[in-house]
Amino acid sequence: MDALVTAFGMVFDPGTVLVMLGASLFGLFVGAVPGLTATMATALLVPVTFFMPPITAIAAIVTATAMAIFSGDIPGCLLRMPGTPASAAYADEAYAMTRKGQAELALGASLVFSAIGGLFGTAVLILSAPALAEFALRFSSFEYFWLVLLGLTCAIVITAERPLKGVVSLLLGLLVACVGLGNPAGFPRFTFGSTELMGGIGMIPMMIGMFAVSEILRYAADTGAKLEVATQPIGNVLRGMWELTKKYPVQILRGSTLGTLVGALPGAGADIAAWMSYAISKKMSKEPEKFGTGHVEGIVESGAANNSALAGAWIPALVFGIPGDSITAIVIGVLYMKNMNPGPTLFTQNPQNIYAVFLLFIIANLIMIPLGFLCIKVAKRILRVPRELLMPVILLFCIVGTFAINNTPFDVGVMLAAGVVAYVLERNGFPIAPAILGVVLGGMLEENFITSMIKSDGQLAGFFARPVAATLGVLTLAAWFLPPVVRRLRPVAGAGAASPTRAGGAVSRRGARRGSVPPGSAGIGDGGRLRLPRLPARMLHRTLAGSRGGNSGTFGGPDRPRLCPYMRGACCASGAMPGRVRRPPCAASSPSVTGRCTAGSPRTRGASRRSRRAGRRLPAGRWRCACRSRTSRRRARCSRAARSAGAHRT
Amino acid sequence: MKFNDAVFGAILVVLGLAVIAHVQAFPRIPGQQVGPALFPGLVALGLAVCGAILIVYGLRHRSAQPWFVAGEWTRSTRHVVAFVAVIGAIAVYILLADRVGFLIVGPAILFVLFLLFGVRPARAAVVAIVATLVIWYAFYKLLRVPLPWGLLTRYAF
Repeated sequence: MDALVTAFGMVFDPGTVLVMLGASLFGLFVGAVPGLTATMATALLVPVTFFMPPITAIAAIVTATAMAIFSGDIPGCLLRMPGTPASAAYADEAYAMTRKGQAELALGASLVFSAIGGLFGTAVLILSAPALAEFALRFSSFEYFWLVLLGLTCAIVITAERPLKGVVSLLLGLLVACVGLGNPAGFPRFTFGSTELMGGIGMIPMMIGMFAVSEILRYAADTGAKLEVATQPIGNVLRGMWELTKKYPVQILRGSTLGTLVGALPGAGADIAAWMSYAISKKMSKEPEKFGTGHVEGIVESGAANNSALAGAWIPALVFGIPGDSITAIVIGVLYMKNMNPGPTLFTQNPQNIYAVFLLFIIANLIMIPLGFLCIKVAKRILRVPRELLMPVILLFCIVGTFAINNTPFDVGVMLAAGVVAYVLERNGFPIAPAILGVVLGGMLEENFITSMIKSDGQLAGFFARPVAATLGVLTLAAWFLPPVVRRLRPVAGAGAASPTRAGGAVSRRGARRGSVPPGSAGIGDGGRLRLPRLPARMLHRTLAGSRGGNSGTFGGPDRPRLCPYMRGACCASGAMPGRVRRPPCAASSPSVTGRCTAGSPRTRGASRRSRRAGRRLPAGRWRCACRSRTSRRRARCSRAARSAGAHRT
Repeated sequence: MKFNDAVFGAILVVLGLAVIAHVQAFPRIPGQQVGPALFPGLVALGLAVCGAILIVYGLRHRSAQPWFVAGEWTRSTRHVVAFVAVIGAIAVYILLADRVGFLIVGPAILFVLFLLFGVRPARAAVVAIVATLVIWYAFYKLLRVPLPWGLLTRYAF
C-alpha cells in the first residue's frame, strides 16, 4: 500500500504532470503528421528524457506514444494517408467515411475506442505482469535463453514476408550486439582498437538512426504528389459514441484482446494488431459488404486494437526485458539507462515504480479524450505544416539529440550509418524489427546461452532438463521447423479442403504473396490453408516493413499501393472493398491482372515493368496502378491515353 | 534502390566468413569449452549460410530480379541531390561541428536542406536561424549539453 502511495506521489509530481502534458502535445503532433511515426516520437524523446528522473521519462514516452497512435488516425481520415503505420489498416475506410460526410463519426470512433482499447490493454498489463513476474522469478538461464530465442523467433515468423530475410536481419542485429566489452568473458570484440567501440555500439543512436534518419531519407527520395486536406467542417466528434459502444461491444472487446495479445508478442506491435483486427472484424461482421465503403465497425475494432497493443507490448518488456514492439525496444534502453533494469526483480524490489508505470498508462489513456478532442479541432492546421520545413529541423534535432547522450560525435556517425543501412535493408525487403530485437536482446541471449552452456558442461541436453525450459525449447524449435514441414505436407492434405465461401474475399497468404493472381481467385484453392491470423501478417508486413517505423507516412511509400494519379480513391482501393475484390479495382489496369496500366507511354512502360515486378508482392486485392510517372506531363499523357481508351469506368 | 538478392547474399557470405576468421584469434578460457568466440562465431555462421541461400535464390530469380534497380526517384536530380544532402549534412556536422561551431554549422545545414526541399530562400534563412537557436537553447542552456562553439568560442556565453 505504501508503494502505491509513493507511486501516486511520483506520478502527480508537478514536473511529471507538466512533462506528460508536453509529451501529449508532442505525441499528438508527431502522430498527426504523415511520415513521423510513434516509434520516431519515442526515439526523438529519448535524448530529452535522458535528463529526467526515471518515472518522468517513462511518463513522457507512455503518453507520447499513446497519443501518437491515436492521432495517426486523423490524417488517415482527412487525407487518406495514415499518420503512423498503425493507422494504415483502416485509413481507406476512414477516408471513405469522410467522403460520405461522416468525418466526425470516424474521428470520434478513433478517439474514444483508442482510449478504451488503451485502458483495456493497461488492465491486462496490470493484472498479468505481476503474476508473470512471480512466475519468472523462478527462471534460470535455461528458461531465459529459450524465452529470448522464442521472442526472436516470433519476430521473424510474424513480421517477415520472407522469413529468410527476417533471419538475416536478426543475425545482423545480434552481430552488432557482439561489439564491445559487454560479453560474459569481458573480452573486447570487434573494437579494432577504438575506445569508443569498447562500450559497444550505442543503442539509442542506432534507434534514432533507424527510425528517424531513415524516415527523413525516405522523405528526401519521395516522389509522390501532395494530397489535399478534406475541407468539410468538423463538429462535435464525441456525439454518437455511446450508441456505437452499445452497438459494438463484442467488437471492442475482441479488438482490445487481440491487440493486447499481438502487442505482447515480441516483434509485433500496434500496426500488426490493427491489420489483424481489421481483417477479423470484417470476417466476423454481420455486414461485411459494408467494409470499405465507409463503415465504422472496422475502425471501432482496429482502433481499439492498436492502442491496446501499446500497453500489451510492455508486458514482456517489463517482466522479461523482451520488447513487445519497437517502441518498447527503445524503452528498454531507457530503463537500463535509468537503472530500472527490466525483469521480475523490478516488481519485487521497486514495486512503486511498477505501480507508477500502471498509473501513467491509465492517465495517458484518460487524458487522450480531451486532448485528442482539441487536436481534432486544430487537425487541419497541423496537416498543413510544411514537411519541407519540418524534416530538416528534425534532422538537426536528431543530430543534437544523439550527440547529447554521450557528448561524442562518434554517436552521430553511428546514427548516420544505422539510418542508411536501415533505409537500404528496408527497401530490399529486409524487415527492421528483427534487427532491433537482435540488438536489444543480443547481450541477454549470449549471456544466458554461455551461462547455460557452462552450467550444463556443454551438454545440449541440459537445455531441456527443466520442465519450463523444455516446454519453451520445444515451442521454439516447433516455431522454427513446423512451418516448412507443414508447408510441404499441406498440398496433399489440404487440397480438398478448400472452401470457396471461406476463401471468398478474404485475402489468403498465398494470394497475398502473388499479386499476379486475380484477386477473385486468390483465395480459392488455398482457402483451406492458412487463414486469417497469418494473412494479415503478410499483408501488413509491407506497412511495417519499414520499421514499424513505417513509411506509410510518406506519400506513396513502398508499403502502400501507389495511388493512381487520375483516379485517386476509386482505383487501387483497399482489398477490403467488398465487391471490388473480385475484379481489378482500377478499370484502367489491364485485365491480364498484372496491375499494370496499359495506357502508359513507352517510356513509362519501362518503369511499369519494374513496378509490376514489385507489384507482385503487393497483397492480393490491393492494386497498384503502375502508370504513375514522374512528371505531370507524362502523367497527363498517360491519363489522356487511358481516357481515350474508355478505361475509366468505376 | 533494389539489389538482387545474390548481391546481399555475397556481402553476407563475405561478412560471415570475415567474422569467423576474426574470432579465431579470440582467447580461449582455460577449463571451459565456451569462450568469447562462440556466440559471434555462430551468428557469423548463420549469416554465411543465409547469404549462400540468398545467392542461390537471387541467381535462380535472375530474370525477375535485375542486379540493381535504382528506383524512380534516382532519375530526378532534385531528389537525388536532396537524398545525398541529408547524408552529407550529417557527415558535414560530424566533420566540422567541433571546429566551426554548432551555431554556424546548424543554420548552414538547415538552410541548404530547406533550399533543396524547395523552400523559398528568405523563408529558409529565417527558419534556419530560428530553429537552430531554439534547439541550441533547449539543449545547451536547458539540458546543458556542451554543443561546440568552434570559431565562436571567444563570444561564448
